Amino acid sequence: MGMTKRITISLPDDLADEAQRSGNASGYIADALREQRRIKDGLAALERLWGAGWQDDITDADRERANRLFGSGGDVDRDVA
Amino acid sequence: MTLEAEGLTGHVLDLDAVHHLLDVKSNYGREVVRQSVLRNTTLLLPATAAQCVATFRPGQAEALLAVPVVTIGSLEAADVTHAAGLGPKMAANLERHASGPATGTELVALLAAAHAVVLAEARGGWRIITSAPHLYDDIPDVRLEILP
Repeated sequence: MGMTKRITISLPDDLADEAQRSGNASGYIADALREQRRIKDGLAALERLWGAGWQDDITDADRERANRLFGSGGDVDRDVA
Repeated sequence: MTLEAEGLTGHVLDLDAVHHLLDVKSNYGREVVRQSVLRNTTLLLPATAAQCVATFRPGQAEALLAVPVVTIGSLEAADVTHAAGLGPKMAANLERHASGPATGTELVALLAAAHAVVLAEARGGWRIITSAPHLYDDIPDVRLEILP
């Protein structure tokens, strides 16, 4: 692990409880931030591939079919939000 | 332990699927890639297909390979014979479907499709994403996701 920096943050109660329950709140939040950065970088790569607005014409039917392909009835956009 | 048991899951893209994605022939194809990014799920590109795309569509190939979940699957020496063994059946599938003699592009797609089958099998039966399902007729244990 690289250098660390102590900061003070405020979280909604439910998220603070979740982080504390993990047993390592700092690590838990760092993982969440890394995951957010991973997704942001990935979506930026897709914008470079397909151009701005590439998601605009994706329909709910496309999303539902892809959810089924990935074996999840859940909505991945909600899950990763 | 299978790769799935370790949480490493994904799909294999064949060459027709790559062209489909690069040409944006469907928004469903884009959505599959988008969800692969969101779910951190691998999109495995046979080296045969990657080389073809990099040769004929270099700019787009570079952009595709920059997508973090897209990974190139190599063809190991031990699998060459297996992939080659699929060739005659897949060539017959291609011939049945084509109106004339197979073109060079179709033959490259066939080689990449055989490679895709080997990669999918090695990963416990990952689904192959394709827009040319006829290539896989009568190939055992292949699971396809057919792009519209």
